[in-house]
Amino acid sequence: MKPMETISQLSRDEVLSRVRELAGKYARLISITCVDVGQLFELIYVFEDELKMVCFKTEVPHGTTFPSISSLYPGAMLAENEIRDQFGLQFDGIAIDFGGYMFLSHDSPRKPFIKEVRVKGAMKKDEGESG
Amino acid sequence: MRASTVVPFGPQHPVLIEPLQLKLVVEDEKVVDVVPALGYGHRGLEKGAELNDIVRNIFMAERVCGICSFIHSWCYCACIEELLGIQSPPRAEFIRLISAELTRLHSHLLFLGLLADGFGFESLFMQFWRIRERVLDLMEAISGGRVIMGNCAIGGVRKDIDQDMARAIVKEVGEIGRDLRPPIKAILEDYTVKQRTVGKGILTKEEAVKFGAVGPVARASGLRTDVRLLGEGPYGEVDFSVVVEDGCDAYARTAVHAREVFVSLDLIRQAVGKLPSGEIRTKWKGRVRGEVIKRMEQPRGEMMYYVRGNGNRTLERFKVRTPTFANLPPLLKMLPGCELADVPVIVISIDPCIACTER
Repeated sequence: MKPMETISQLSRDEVLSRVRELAGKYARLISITCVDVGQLFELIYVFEDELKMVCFKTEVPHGTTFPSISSLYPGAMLAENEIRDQFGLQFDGIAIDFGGYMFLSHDSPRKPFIKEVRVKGAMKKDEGESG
Repeated sequence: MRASTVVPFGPQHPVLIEPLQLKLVVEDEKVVDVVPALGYGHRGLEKGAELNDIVRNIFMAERVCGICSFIHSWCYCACIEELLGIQSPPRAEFIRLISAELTRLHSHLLFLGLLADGFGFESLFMQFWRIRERVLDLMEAISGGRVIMGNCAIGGVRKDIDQDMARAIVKEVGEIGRDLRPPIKAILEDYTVKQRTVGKGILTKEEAVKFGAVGPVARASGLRTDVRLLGEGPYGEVDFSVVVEDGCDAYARTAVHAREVFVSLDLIRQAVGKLPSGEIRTKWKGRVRGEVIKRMEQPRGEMMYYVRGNGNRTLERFKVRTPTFANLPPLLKMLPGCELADVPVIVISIDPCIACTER
């Protein structure tokens, strides 16, 4: 079986220099994913360089901002706006800023992907499944 | 100095089958800027997937998109299989490939029909959709579902393809290929089609990389990119060539779709011919722990799944990056400078799927 992709852990500054390096090599941005892990957000950057995936992540404390990479990768604008919608994490210097309302409307629940937000009908987190 | 006017294109528009709004800043008849307005079809599916158990999520994933649905369920199941440390049987992998290529086939025929409809070529639209019905009939015969096949399961597939069915697929695929030649010749060679598409919505190779274009949009700009080239799963056991055009315009994007139809037909034929014997499903039991990133080639381009489990019944995070999500920034690059009348054809030429973009 093919091994899982390795996601390396980088610091905030290392992320930005790594993104600059990848932009210089004409690597393509695939996605930016955010995960709420309690007091921190994990930001996971995925690029494609010569058909190979390059993945790395960094940690961002709740209540802080993170630099946008949309000046290097204009397509990052949508992913960063989506993360702001879902988690409330703001990106500095974003190309088009929807202000937290790209997908969500003004009467939607705010930051719905934060783990503290309880959703009606959620299943209990207990047993595993089988099939 | 010319006065600017903002013309809202969508969310309801005759050429849009799904709600998307583009605020077009125009000077006379020329588009000078464009700002998208999204959220009309947002369903919160990623959050929903964190609330359901991992088996129910197969059906959730399959409904991310109503067109390329099967490949969503395949990618989700492949992620869970990797986290569980199981592998689906070879026969199941080939049935998945056949289902995925049928999905690509009907999606591309849907696109070609909609494009013809977009510039008023109604009879061509009907020809493509008439043939597309036969692809949906094949999907129904294999799985019971005409669009949402519901055939993918964690560890394999639910329904097998017997010998009679395999013979019927090969026969029908051959006839579909034969019947598709005249309408595809029309869309690639007709004078009026060329007038509406050649030189419209230019996206250069450099811009395609910078703005993150994927799938037929990227391949029409000269980029040889296709996740199937990685040869993962059954794609490593079949021969196919990636269709690349260098026109960088709406015509090149149409040509990529048109030529890929025959690649998919050939892949289905090969997969049926090489269908291994054996089981179609691996039994499994366990919990999902860890994180995995997987990519698959949808009809509209590369799709990425990020799945993370922490040993519970539900997922910690479920993230989907769909092809149209990646192709929207390139669209915003294509539109400025074009004539207002060309906007519908340029928008259709990226084959937008808003339901899966917003999830």
